[in-house]
Amino acid sequence: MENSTSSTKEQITKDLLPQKFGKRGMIWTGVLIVIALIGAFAYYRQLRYGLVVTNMRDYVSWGIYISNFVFFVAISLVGSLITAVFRLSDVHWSTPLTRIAEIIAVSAIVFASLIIIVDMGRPERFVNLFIYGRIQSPIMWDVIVISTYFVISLLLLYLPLLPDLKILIGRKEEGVSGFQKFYRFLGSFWKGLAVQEKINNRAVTILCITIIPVAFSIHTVTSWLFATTYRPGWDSTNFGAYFISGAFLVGAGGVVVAMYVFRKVYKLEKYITEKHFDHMGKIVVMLALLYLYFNVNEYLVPAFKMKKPEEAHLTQLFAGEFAPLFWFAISVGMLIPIAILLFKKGRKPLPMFIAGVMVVVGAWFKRYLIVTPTLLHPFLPMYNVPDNYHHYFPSWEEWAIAIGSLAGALLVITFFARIFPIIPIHETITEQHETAE
Amino acid sequence: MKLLNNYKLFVVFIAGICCNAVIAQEAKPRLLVEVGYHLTNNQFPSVSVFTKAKIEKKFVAVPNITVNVYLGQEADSNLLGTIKTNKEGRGEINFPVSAKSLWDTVSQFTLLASTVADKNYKSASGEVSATKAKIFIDTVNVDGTRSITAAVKAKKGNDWVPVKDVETKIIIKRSVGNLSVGDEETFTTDSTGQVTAEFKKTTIPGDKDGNIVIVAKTEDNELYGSISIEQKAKWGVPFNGENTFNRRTLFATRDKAPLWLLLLAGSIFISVWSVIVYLIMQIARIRKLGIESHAGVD
Repeated sequence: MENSTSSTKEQITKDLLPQKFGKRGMIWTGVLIVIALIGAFAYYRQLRYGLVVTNMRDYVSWGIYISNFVFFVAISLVGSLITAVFRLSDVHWSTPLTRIAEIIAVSAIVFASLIIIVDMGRPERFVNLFIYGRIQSPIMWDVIVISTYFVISLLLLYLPLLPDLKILIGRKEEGVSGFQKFYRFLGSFWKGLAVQEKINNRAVTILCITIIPVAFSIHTVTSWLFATTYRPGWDSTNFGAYFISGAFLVGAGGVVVAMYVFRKVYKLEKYITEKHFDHMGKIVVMLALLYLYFNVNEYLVPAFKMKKPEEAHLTQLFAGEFAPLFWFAISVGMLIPIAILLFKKGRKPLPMFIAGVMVVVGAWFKRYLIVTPTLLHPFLPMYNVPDNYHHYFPSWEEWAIAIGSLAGALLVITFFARIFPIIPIHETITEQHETAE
Repeated sequence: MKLLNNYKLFVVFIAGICCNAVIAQEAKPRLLVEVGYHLTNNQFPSVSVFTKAKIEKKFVAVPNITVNVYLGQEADSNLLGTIKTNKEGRGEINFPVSAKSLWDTVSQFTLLASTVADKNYKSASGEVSATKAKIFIDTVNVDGTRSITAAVKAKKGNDWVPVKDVETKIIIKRSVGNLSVGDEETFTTDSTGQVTAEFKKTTIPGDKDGNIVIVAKTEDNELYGSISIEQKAKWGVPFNGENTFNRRTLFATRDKAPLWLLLLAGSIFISVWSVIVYLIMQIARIRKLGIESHAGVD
């Protein structure tokens, strides 16, 4: 009996150990590095010539960078959903997904911070936020809450990793032998003592409780950056809840995409099963319906009243310049995924992956639509300004930096999965053991 | 024969280019210069110019035109100054101190504005003639009935004589635009050169002492130009706006943040970061336990 348990343990460990990049992995990483380098070059140009290389001007001063920032903040919320909410609710099926969710959260929040510095134009001015920052400003609240969320997410990634580090240390397999020093640096002190386990479990529970209000704060404060500004499209008391529901949706969509890719690449079919996709599909469809409900509130109520300043903004969204993008974001980001995932067949891995990609892509454009059209419709009419001030389309530098930052976030996830087990080994073994008992 | 034809062709080509150049010169739009004379509070004369051109059957303002302004004939000794019109085609210049001696000697005068030809426009000029005039204002409050009297006087020889039939506006100056003092805004001077307007805006807000500014003026008068005078009157309702300067508000500087906000934000920050510090201490504890157990095994 003991022998069979240890052989199961060994099998799980072998299955879940990090693996060397194959040919596809090398190509994937290479492509991401090239995209990130192009983004870095575009940023160098922005630093050298100033923000004039962007197409942001007096009116559209928050363009693709801030859209990207809101997207990153949104997707980072998934860490709190999958890890904290499910753990506290005693939902065990999510165990293989917790680390995926946490690394998405950490990489997204890192790049959310970086993209804000990019948007500032001159990065050395970041320090001014701390020297001259006013606690009265929602921007300051955002800086505080983002750094807090980053630290908590990092802890939530690190603490459950400690037992796995013990497993990784001393192993001779090709995929992990090169990182032994690093593993020892991070967790050589973990001996698996009962008292260590107890402290660790308690710390993780405290983290799970803490991360939920902080996660809600991070996206609520981000929504307040807009809602505390009196402008058509942003002047809403609903914005906090609207942003959070959207964030949970895109985060869950991101996890679905990641779990499909990791399952396929690392052959984890035994651990990320169709049951996981089915559960996640139900969650995504619920979140999509919730977000759709908030969208109806956000757009239908002002459209029903059609106050004069809102009219130009809403008309542009519904039937004007932004209409194709708006209806694309609504249908691809919500309606079609709902239609796919409502059915059991739609919650199989491949349709789930397609729906997840749609949710993520739709969510990115949705953020763009929240930020930009409003800026093109100020209360006071644009008068005596150059023609190009009336429109906004990002310059190639903006695209390169934004896409580069997305590639950067994916690189962080890729390298993490190369170094650490993407599915918690120790927790999986424990759960298997408990199930067997 | 072929060579001759080539010569002909060359001559026609050159002639064509020359004609084209002449036509192009002729096609320069005609610049029009409008000149205005202004006198504020009977003290500060100034000249305004507006440059425009008729393009595609519509008058459009022409910016960046250099205009020389003269008092009288176009001569260096009469030059009041040079104006460059702004993007709306307008420009203004005050009379320089050096022109005072010349200005004091005249009762009637002509202001001439001329432009220099450039690659887009031929030279142009405009002028305005006027008689020196002054406007006076007085506020009267008899048994609670408030009225304003304005008088227009023109210079005749060495004397200032009242002038009749001059359209005069009496208004209250506000930050954006002006308000009439009563039912009407424009009055015509009588034989004594005076107009009287009853003040009916009794609830209008003034400054903290209730002061409002009343203006009497003529606008683009053919004989006297645009002359105006202002006078303060304590006829407004004192405005005691709450002064929030240097108080703790949401819109104050960082050192003047509201206490409730500092308390709220501070307590949230301290509570969350206390948890984080506690958790980091727990990691240190786990580490210590691990090291101790390792040492124990050794």
